Amino acid sequence: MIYKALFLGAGLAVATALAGCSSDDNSSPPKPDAGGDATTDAAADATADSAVDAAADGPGLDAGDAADVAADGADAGLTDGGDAGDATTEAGDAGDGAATTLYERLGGHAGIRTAINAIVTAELNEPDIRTYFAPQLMTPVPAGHPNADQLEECFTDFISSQAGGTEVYPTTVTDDAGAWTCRNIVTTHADLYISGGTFDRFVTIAAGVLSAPPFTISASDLTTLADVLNGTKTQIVAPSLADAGELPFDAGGQ
Amino acid sequence: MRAGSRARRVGASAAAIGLGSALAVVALLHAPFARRLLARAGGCPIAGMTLSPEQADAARRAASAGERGRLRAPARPALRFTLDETRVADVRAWAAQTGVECKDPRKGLMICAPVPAAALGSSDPQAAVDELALEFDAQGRLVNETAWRSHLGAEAGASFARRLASSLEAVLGPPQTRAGDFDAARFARPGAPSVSTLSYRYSDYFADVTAMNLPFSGTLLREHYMAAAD
Repeated sequence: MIYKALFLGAGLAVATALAGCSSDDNSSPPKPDAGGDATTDAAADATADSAVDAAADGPGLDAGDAADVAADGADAGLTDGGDAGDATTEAGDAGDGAATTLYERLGGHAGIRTAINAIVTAELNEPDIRTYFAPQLMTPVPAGHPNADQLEECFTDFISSQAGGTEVYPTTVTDDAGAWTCRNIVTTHADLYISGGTFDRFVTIAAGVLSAPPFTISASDLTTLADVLNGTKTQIVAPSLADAGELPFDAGGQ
Repeated sequence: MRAGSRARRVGASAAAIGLGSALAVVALLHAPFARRLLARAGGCPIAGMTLSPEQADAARRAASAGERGRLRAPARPALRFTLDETRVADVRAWAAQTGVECKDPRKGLMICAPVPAAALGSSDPQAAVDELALEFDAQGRLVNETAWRSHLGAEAGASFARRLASSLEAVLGPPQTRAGDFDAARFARPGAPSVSTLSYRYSDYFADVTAMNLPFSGTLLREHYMAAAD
């Protein structure tokens, strides 16, 4: 009987540890790399596991990434690299022609990717929010997690799909490390125990990035993007923590 | 002989019970309701997801590398602390002296909440902080700091934010990046139109002030300082 209890306990522990650790592994937030290498590949059928198994070179938070992104942004049309003085969110209002979609005004996929990279970089500078990116900050990226490039590409596809682009979400993205199947918003954040306060802080940092140079997003477009982000709140924030302030997350990816 | 055999059985049984109990505890810690407790215990050792100070350092360096300015900062204000010099023990001593409660969610990260204005050396009641996050590098030096204030009234929040912006400008000059002017009318509007932000980017120092009015947090003000010398 004792041995039955032992085996039962062991089985339960292993099963829940695997379900817990690795299912949590399927719930990591975005992070930078800015390499911009990952591309959407709806045809790719590689599983998340094989994608991560193939990941070898880590998140690639290279020093030169941001410079690359800045250059990319200039091409993408989302940024103007202009004066740092007075680029308020109203700057682009006049340019919101009725003939263009939000996706086009954001510079298409490349422009949105540039913005995502800038947001994630800013979020990484925040001591507590950084913790949510722990898996992507490890080399190699732990099994069951997308690398930074894949994660940013998933986020880019999500925003693109909401902004009128042809991207679909969830989808499968590929980069040099392999393929990663983006997960739906609920699954991605299910075990992160994100509070309402933490979510608001993430949004505030993101809005600050997109409001200021080099980005030239109009007030109305910024509102639309903020609405998209806020629209995910009920999917991202743990119901039990919806009314809680910021709660430090101390084991990112758990 | 029989006594020896019995002793072995008792010993094996005790070991089995002990091991079974330990495994059951591990299992319980992975249950959804106990996941935060597991996180506080340092995270799941199988997943190995706890961010180390070295990893946090690497992330901070990488995130700042592309934004670093060319000039050294004329000063590096950071509330009442000194970037690259204040150590964990200094903060603990300050917390004890001022009665501020601080926790260590992970090694290298200290969260202090709430922090009264007086503890920050200010007589301005608006300077009180909901939460102060202090991050230390692998050598234990303060390198990253954020003060969060929420539920600020539009007038009071705008007034404080402008004083904060002015105090930074007095020692650092005009910000390199700015959007919005931290005025009450702006803060009174919800969502994206309420955003005001300013940033300084030097070769050895970053500073950011961002405010936004959100349904849950009200006017939320972020005051952020970071060492960027490395």
